[in-house]
Amino acid sequence: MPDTHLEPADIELLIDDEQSPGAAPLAAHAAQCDPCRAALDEARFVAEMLSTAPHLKPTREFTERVMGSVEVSSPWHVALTDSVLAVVPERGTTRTGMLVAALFAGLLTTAGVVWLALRADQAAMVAGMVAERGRTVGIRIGNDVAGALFGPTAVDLLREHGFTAVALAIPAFLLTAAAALMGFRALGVAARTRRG
Amino acid sequence: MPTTRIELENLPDADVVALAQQGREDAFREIIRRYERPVFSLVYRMVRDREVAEDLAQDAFIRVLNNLDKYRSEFKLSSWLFKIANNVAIDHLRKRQLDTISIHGSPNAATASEIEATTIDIDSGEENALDEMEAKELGSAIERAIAQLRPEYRACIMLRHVEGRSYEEIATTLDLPLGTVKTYIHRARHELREALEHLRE
Repeated sequence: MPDTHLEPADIELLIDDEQSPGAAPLAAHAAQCDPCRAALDEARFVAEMLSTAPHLKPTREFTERVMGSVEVSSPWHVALTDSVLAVVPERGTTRTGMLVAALFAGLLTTAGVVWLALRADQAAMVAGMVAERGRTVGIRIGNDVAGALFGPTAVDLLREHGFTAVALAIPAFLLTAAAALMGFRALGVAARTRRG
Repeated sequence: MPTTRIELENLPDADVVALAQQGREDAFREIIRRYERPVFSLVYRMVRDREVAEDLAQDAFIRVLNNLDKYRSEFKLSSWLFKIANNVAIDHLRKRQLDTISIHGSPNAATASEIEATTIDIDSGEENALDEMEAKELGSAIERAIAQLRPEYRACIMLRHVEGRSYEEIATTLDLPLGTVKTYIHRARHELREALEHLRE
């Protein structure tokens, strides 16, 4: 046990690590020496006060504000895994049920694709028939609409010149409509000005 | 691969960082969740302004999270965060000169006399009055006493006693010589003892 009073460094040592080998004689001295014990108690008091200083909490928006400025880029395999895991239920029974349903759906789809592949010629023929039928109906509707809007001349023109006529007619129609709209608007403004 | 928040919460920092490096957003959020309070507390006690502290703490997190690919696993994530947070807080104080800042000219100063000789003091010329909000949150005597310390003392004493860091860790975190850290903590304790003396009577 040292005969002299504790130095500030000795008190620091006792505060920081009372279990260290050099601390025992210092602690023994402090136990017997009133001034040193008082100094040690005072230092301990400060350390205890400091340890009660709480962690302060930022606002709720803190995380989102940080995340808004952080570049998070997932590799494709991580993004894919996350997407799959996001739809997999966490409960065991639900997960099993979903797995069975997914397997069944996969089986049906595979069977359908294989069946279609084996009958590709028939599928192509059916698709061709459907496409031809759709084209015929489309042309008929187009003729009816053009006839109703622009009269039989437009229909004849359409039949005679096909897509070229359509390509010319649409911009011409739009320009004419826009010019008419502006003209009517100008007339309206002029009428209001005269009344005013 | 952990998917739930509970699983992430149980992982050590290094694993969470590894997941964040893979682009896992929930890992980024976990890092923020773990350290938002310690980092914000450190910065708040340095600058003593909630709004500024929040901006600076946010800046520290953004710098760290956007540079996670440069993270070295031998360095503690928390130490890295504290280091950046301390730097942004000190930079802010230097720019604004809101407080009494000691700029230690020599990073190699290890003794009290060397520190004294290489220290420049900048006085703000105004009292460090806490506003109402700060007074509410930093209302206790210890908080007021901490607020009176120099910023670099504050960082050292907070890391030592609130975060429980060793002297060596504090030296590494704050890029200070070990002797300087010991001196700062010793001086901080001395000043705190004087400031809190009335409470022991």
